[in-house]
Formats: sequence, structure tokens, C-alpha cells
Amino acid sequence: MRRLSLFGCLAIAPILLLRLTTPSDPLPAFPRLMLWAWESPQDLRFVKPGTAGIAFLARTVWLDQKRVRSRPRLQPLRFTPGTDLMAVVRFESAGHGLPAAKDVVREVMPAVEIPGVRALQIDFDARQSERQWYAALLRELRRAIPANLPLTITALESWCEHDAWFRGLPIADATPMLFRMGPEDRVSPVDFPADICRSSMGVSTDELPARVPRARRIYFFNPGPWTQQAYDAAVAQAGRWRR
Amino acid sequence: MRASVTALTMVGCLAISMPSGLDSCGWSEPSSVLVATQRPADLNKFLSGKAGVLQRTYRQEYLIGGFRILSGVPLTETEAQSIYNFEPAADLPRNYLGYIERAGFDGWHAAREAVTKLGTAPPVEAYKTLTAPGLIESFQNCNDDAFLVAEESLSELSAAWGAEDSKTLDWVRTQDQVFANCSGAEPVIPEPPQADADPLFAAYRRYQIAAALLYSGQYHKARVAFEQISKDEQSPWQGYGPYLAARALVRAGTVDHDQEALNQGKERLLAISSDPKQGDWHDPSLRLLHLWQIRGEPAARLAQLGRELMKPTDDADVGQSVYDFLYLLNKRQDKTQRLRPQSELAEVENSGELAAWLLSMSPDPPADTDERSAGWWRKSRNPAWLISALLNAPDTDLPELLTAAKQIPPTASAYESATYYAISREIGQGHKQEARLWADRALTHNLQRSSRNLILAQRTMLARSWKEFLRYGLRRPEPHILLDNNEGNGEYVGDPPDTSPEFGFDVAASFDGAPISVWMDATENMQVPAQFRLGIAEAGWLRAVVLGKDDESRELMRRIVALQPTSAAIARGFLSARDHDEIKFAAIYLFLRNPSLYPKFGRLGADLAYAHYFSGRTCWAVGGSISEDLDFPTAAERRASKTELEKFRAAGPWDATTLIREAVDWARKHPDDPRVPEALHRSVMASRYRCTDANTGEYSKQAFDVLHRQYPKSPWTERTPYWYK
Repeated sequence: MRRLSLFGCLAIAPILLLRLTTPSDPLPAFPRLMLWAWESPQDLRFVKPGTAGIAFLARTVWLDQKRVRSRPRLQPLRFTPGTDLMAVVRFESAGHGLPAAKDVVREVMPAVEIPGVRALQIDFDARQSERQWYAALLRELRRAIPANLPLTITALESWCEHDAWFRGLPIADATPMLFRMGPEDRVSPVDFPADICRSSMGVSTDELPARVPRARRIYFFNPGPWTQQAYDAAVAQAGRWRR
Repeated sequence: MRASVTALTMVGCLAISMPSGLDSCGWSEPSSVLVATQRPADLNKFLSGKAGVLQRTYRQEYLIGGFRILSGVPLTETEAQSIYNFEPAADLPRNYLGYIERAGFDGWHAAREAVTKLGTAPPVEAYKTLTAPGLIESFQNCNDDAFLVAEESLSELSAAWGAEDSKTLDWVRTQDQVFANCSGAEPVIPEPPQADADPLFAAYRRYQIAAALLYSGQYHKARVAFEQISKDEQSPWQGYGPYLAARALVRAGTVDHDQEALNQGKERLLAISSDPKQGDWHDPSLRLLHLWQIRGEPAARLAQLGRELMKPTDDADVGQSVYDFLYLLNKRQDKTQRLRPQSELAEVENSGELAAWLLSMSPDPPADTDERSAGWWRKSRNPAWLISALLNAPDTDLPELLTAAKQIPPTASAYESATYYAISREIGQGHKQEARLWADRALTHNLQRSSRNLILAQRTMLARSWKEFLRYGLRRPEPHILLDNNEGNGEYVGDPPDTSPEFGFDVAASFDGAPISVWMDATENMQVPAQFRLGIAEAGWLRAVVLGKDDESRELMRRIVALQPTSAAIARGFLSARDHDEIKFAAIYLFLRNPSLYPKFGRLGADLAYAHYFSGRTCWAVGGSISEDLDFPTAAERRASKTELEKFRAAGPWDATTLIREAVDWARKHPDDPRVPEALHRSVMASRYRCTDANTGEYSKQAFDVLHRQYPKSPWTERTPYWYK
């Protein structure tokens, strides 16, 4: 009997080890396939709830030292009711200084208030000089939005590779974007050093990398409106990567 | 069929001759542009009649400009300013595309903030988001004019009653309620005025109530309220009443899809437009009528706009007409994989020449464009239609079209387009000699940079030798345009840091598949600038080493030294290597010192002696194959290409694990080699900076241990305090 227990323990040890080394899913309620729906008329009614989620550009916020300006997406987003929705707020910086974080939080809040939104993603390619501000903004935003609403960000690949600046931020996930990375040929590593970058990754349907890091959730960007065909291709690609 | 093959050839040609990349969430530096594909590279030249090569990928606003030029009615300055104003203002960065200046909104915000007695102004959002099951949609509910009028009203009332008078403050408080409806889901309607209220105050309040009803989406109630105001002779808002009542009806039509209200709104706007007493409201009514027409009579409006846009005008608002025209045109295009019915096509074509031409120049033209474009050309003799026909017409029409293209003089606006597309058709027909001669002739003329690069790309694919291939493969980037790889911003006016010649992507893709013998020849091709020859020698050397071609790698290193004499000292270790293993280690050592070396074609030569670490994880991604469209590569070259690429891939990239393993092996076998400590140090650093795999950490530790154990006093050991997982 004791021997059986020992064997049992040995058998489950690798599983336990795997569980310990693999970060838990920061967005357990969301499907593992997410579609970024950017600002063009998007009709995603072909996506069945539960098979993929929609991370839609909800607002764009322009940052300037003097003022903050924002507007919502002005193109309709159609989807099957019940589909998991994540609001994405894109920040654009003029590079001439940044406004008070509270003013920016105010501009973000309408995105959070859209019915059906179950997570918030901030998309900001913060320059080095803007990162301290960005970190403070994320802390203030975390306090302002409902406690049960996950806050995530998109991340430049270099942040996940080298920069520890966003370590300790109150974010559930950082999604490294593995596309439009510049003229150099670069292949992403099997795993990013930064733990926060290990749960998801973002790719573009027109620039699929040959190799991708291990990630439990894949965000697909599609230039222009999504179509059934583009969606099917994304589903198939995600399947190949997970094999 | 032939037309579509040609189109594909041209699209392919475009794809490989220029950097590409649009729409993204990532961030990267803007890149130089060999061929502008979204807009004319030099707008001033374009407006002066140098149309360049008009492409299907151009923004349609530029194609409209191109059609006007080729039709002999170029855009006026006012038209150009109005139509091409979609770029962000000069003082704003590129990522501010889509940013909207709102003078009225800002003015009201400032005025309201100044009313300190009422505390901080509540936030106002001009946009309303409508949600329904399965739909999220936003629109601008409160236009900038509304805020402008509010600011003016506050100023007037402060002057009339005093800034801190209770009536003024009451008006401000109520106005906050009005603007709460701009975005709010729940209506906030002000209380009606008291019976004994000041008449002016009461009139303002009634107007505020009507506005609140409008912004809260209660359009019929708003219409009634504005009608009542229009009857109130005492109200300063009486004149606004009829127009705003009509506007409420149009809103009911556009937002709530109330067709009857939409039609009523149209009738009222027509009445206002024909009433001389309401002269102030004629322009706003006309604009709203156009909005109505877009919804109610889209075909008629498309035809009307098509006609208007072909006539030069000094109307500074023509940009709006272009916007409406393109909205109507594109709305009818297939965006949902639905096939456009023939009746719709005919309808668009009947809408006028401009609409038909734009459709024929779209990336996905209607199926019958081939016949129609040639028909339009015969009918109109407009060179714009010749270009469309060259792009679309079947092969049977080609003799006539090619003859017409040949007759266009180099000074004509249509010359570059007609020539480029005619050459493409000659290539498509297999008439390579004719195409070559035509391209050579064209290249003797003073072409615009993008046009030259497009024709150079054609000529490159018509090359008769590797020498010619490289000669025509070099192109200069556009001097005043950049490609923003982020967020779909695309090409924009800007100064690239460098406009030195570079090889097109098409050239690199084929050359990267070439065998080592071709690389060796290229280092002696005097038509290639020396710095590129050095780059070819360095990349070729690296390839030869990986392939185990020791004689070739030695010869290529000699050529590197000949092209860059300062490398002689550092190259000595490699050139004096006695056997294959030593050659390999010497190459690994050089590569560890200079990790910028890369086995790909097209880079400028690097200083071989420059020792450094790479900042940024880099990996080799080497591919390429000799294009099947090239005639000159021999069968032997194609065979060697295949064999070498397979061998190169099988050898694996020089990523961190490979570099460390080789360095450690050599260190164990040759502990007295003075290069070893440095090689071990740099190999540990490679585990930090180069591509890694699951075994890298283990090898990194091995190199670290060997370095510290065998060379404890070496300065390289001191510089290696860590190994990397």
C-alpha cells in the first residue's frame, strides 16, 4: 500500500511541477483565442461565444502635457451576444510631456462602462521617459476601475525581454506583440524572462512568426475588418501552434 | 485571365520591391520607402501634373486627383488643400492621425471652468455610445457648434444679467444638464420655467429643454419643442426653431431609422432652403439635405457628386464632397464577401466616369472591368482610361493599347503610368525583349523616384546575368517620404535619415538563394558600390564557413581584407588556420567578437575588427530562393542553390548554444590558444544576447566554469561574473 502511494506521488510529481512552473491563467473566464478588433466596421457575428473573445478598440486617448483628449470607436462592432468582450484603450502620446494621471483615468472610464465589457486592456507603446508615468497611471487606473475587472496591457517585446520596469504593476497580464517589430529579423524566445509576459502573446494575421513563445492565450490582429475566412485561418494557426 | 495574371505579377512586383507593413499594435521606427504605394511621394509635383505611376493601392483621394490631372482638369489649390487635409497638423506627431481639434468644446470648457461659484465643471463627453445585444456603436452626439453657441450664450447672459447673477448661474447649471445628455444613457431634461420667470430667462430655458430632448434621443419631443420656439416671437431662438425641428426629424431617421421622419425632415429642409427669410439657414440646411440624400437617394447623390467633383471649384468644403462621394462609392463595394450584383455595378458606372474609373482602379475591381475599361478608353480617349485598360483589359485588346501607350511622350502626365503598366503587359505576354527595351528607354528619362524604382524592379526581373541583376537591383529611396509601420498610418511626409541606394527586397530574396560561387563573383562586380561588395563578402564568408567550404571562405576573407585593409590583423588568425576545425573556431571567434555579422544579402559591410556585444536578442532567419521568373540563372546554379540552402539549414543557426558549445569544445582541446578566454567570455555573453534554447543555460554554465577554472587570472574571467539561464 505504501509502495502504491509512493508510485502515485512519483507519477503526479511532474504534473505538480508543471503546475508550479506554469503561471495560472490571469483571465480564466476568457477563451484562449482573442481577436483584436481595431477601428473599422467589424461584424464578428460568425464567432461563437466561448470559442474566441473580442478585444475591441473602445477608445483612443491622445496625451499631451496640456490636455487629454479622447474619443470612442466610431465604427460599429457587431457580435453574437454572449461573446466575451475586452475593451482596449489606445494611448497616443505626442512626446511633449504627459498630463495628470487622474485626467487620463477619467477619459478611460467610459470604455469600462460599456455593457458587457469584462476586462480592460491598455495599449500604449510608452517611451522610456514615459514609463514611470505609465506605471503610476496603471496604479491609479487599477484603483478606479471595479475590483473584479482584470486590467491588462499590451507590451513591446523588448519590455518582456529586458525591462523589469513593469514588474510589480497591478496588472493581470502583459501581452507581448510579436509583429511590426522593425526591419531586423528577430525570432522570439521560447519563453520570455518576465513572468507577466508568459500568459499571452499577440500576432498579426499578415505577419505570422515562424516560432512563437509558449502562451496560453493568443491575440490575433487582422489588418482591416475580420472576415470568416481570416477568423478560420486564425483558429487553424492557433491550433498548429498549440500542437 | 491574362489581365488578372498581369495584375498578380504587378502586385507581386510591388510586394517585393518595397518595404511593407501597416496597421499594428507594435512599435517600430519608420522606414524609408523605395516606392510610394499609398500616395504620390511628392504632392506638389503631383498637383503640378506629374502623376507618376497611379496605383490601385493609392488612397482614393489621390486617385481622384490623378483622374482630374489625366482628364486635363487638375485640382485647384483650394481643392487640394480641402481634399488632402487628413494628415495631422504640422505640430502634431504622426500618431495623432484621427485627433480632432475641437475649438467649441475647449471654449465652453474654459468658460464653464471660469464660473467658479458652481464649483468644478462636470465632465462632458460629446460622443454617445449606443449598445444593444450584439452591437456597440458610438457617434458624435453634440457637435462642436453646440459648445460654441453655449459659450456665446454664457457671454451674452453674463453681459445682460451679470456673471454672478442667479439667473446666469441657473442657466449654467441647466446647461450642464443639457450637455450631460451628449453621452449619458439616461435623459436629463431641465425643469420648465416658472410661470412668472423673466421672459428672456424663460426663452433660454425652453431652448435648453429642446436641446436636451434632442441630445437625449427624444427626437419627436425635440421637434415639437423647437416648433414651439419657432412660434415664439419673443424668443431670441425663434430663428433656430425651424431648422432644428428639421434636424430633429433627420436624426430620428438616421439614428432610429424612422424613414417617415427622415422624409419629413427633407421636406422641411427644402422649404427652409427656398425661403429667402431664412437665408442664414440655407447652408446648414443644404448640408443636412446632403446627409439626407446620402441615406435616402444614394445613387442620385453619387452621380451628383461625381459630376461636381470633375469641375474645378473654389469651394473650401470640397473635401466633404469627396468624403461623401467615397462613402457612397465604397458602401456599394463588397465588404462582406457578398458578390456585387450586376445592377449595382451598372448603377455606379452610370453615376459617372469618375466613379467607374475609381472602381476599375480598385484593388478588387468588378469582374467585367476588363471589357468596360477598354470601352471607356475607346469612347473617351482619356489617358486615365488607357491606364485602367492596360491594367484590366484582356490580351486581345493589347496591340491597340500598347500602341497607344508608346505614343505618349515622356513629358505627358500619363507617361510613367502608361509605360510601367505597358511593360508589365509585355512581360505578361512573354515579350521579354520588348519589355527590356521599353524599360531601358524609359530609364533614360527623368522619372520620379518611385516610378524609376518600379521600372527598375521590372528591369531587374528581366536581367540577363547576375551582374545585370545586381546593377538594376540598387535603388534610391524616396527623399521626402517615410513609412510608419505602426497603427496603419502608412506613408507620410518626412525626411528619411538616409537616402543612399539600397537593394530592393525582390533582389535580396533571390540573391539569398544564390550559391556561394555567385556571392564570390558579386564581390568583384564593379557596378556594385564597394561598401555593398564588402557586405556581400562578409555575409558570403559566414555562409561558406557554415557550409564547410574552406577554400571559398578563405578566398572571401582575402577579399574582405582587400576591401577593408584595416581587417588584416584580425583576419590573420582565420587566414592562417591549418585545418577545418581551426577554420571553424577562428570564424566562431570572429563572430563572437562581431555578432552584427549576418549571413544575409543586402547589408553594407561592417568593420570586421569592431568587437562588441549585441544589445537586443537576435537570431538568424535566413531563407530566400532564386525566383523562377529569372531567366539567366543556370540549371547548375539552381541545383547548387537548393543543395547549399538545405545544408545551411541542416547546420543550424549560430545561436547561443552552438556558439558556446563550439567555444567550450575548442577550449578543452586547445587550452593554450590565447583566443580561448575571450571566446569563452563572449560565448557566455551570447547566452544573454543571442537566441537561446532549452540547453543554453547548461552550456552557459559550462563555458563559465571552464573559463573560471582554466583561466582564473585572465581579464576575461574578471569580466564574466555571471552565466545566464
